[in-house]
Amino acid sequence: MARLLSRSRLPGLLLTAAVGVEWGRALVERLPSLALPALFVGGLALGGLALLVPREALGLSRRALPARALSGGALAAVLLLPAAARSFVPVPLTGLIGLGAAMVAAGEEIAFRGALYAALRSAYGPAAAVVGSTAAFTAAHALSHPPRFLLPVAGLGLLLGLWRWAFDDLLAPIVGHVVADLAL
Amino acid sequence: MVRRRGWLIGAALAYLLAAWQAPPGFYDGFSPQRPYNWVSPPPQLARGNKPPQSAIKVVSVGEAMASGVQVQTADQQASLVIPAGALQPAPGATAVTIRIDPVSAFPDPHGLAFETNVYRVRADAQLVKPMSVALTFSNQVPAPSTIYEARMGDTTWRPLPTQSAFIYQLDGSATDFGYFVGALPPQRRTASGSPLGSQLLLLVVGGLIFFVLLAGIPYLMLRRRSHRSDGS
Repeated sequence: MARLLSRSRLPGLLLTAAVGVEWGRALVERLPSLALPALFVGGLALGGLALLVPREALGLSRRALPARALSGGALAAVLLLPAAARSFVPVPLTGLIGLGAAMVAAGEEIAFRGALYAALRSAYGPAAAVVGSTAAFTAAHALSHPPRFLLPVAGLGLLLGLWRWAFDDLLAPIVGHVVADLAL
Repeated sequence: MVRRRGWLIGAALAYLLAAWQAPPGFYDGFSPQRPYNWVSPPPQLARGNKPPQSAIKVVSVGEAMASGVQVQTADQQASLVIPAGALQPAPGATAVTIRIDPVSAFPDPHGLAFETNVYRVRADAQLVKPMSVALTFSNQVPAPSTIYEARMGDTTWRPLPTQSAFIYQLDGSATDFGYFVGALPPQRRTASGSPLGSQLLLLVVGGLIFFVLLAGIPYLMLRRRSHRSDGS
């Protein structure tokens, strides 16, 4: 078991777990009555993957919290720009659906840009961490999105992955992703 | 740091370009779908149902030939894109009328599982090039896989080349006017006719993945801690 969690094997384990949770969630959500519980369970499961890497490697330190949170708002603005430019009328999420969606968005960031990124960087370096977490994030959406939507998903993964690399920060991607999901 | 910011700006531009190709952009699909207006709602969706809307558009022959025609019902559940030059009006006609109507009378489904309203599309011109037909569907019913068409005066439903270019929407290519519906083919239904069977396997697989992961992660953590304490 120690070998299973070794530095080179942890990325594979995290990738399988994160993509598996997302695929499982997407399949369960096809039954409308289970969609809401699937959001909560999926969000918790994704967030739980953070427990498999050291806390200090997640990019969630307390330094410059307000600035990083504000940066998350800027990231959200970039993510929402195409919809805003098209005058798309959003349906803001509220109540339990909003809470569940926020949990999944935060969970996805913790799993892909937090735990998986940290494990990949530790094992193979930052380039592999950015590319690998982006590829895994895109694959994770393959069952829930039509193929045409996977390109923007990959674009988002790359942007947030590069943010993580440039500033060693996960808070802004979490804020940006949550806000974008709640707004759209 | 300058180099890193350069990468970030490049990634932001790449995202914007990619998101522009797939309206509305990045979309995680959590939004509650706009309520679907049914002609004959499923029993569980009958409460609060509103009648679906029609569309009618009159364009000059010149405009239809030069620019094409777009028609959409006011509730955005059905729409057409007829390319330039695709309509051949009757000799001497100066305008063309195109109608989209949700209908309750249509050819027998012959085992198909209709998951949207049936829309009848008519025009007082002939279609000489393919047009695009888009139908939205509810997230409260099994997602239809294909748009089917029954031509006027024909009782056979034929599948159209269909793609899902947008969440909760099917886009098909049609070469004639007629009846259009989003449906699941007969083999996707269970013997009892319930669409739940087609979802059941997916649910089981999804549930298994959840179970294995939710049970496995705490197990791995416990083993890891145990290994650490052994080592120390």
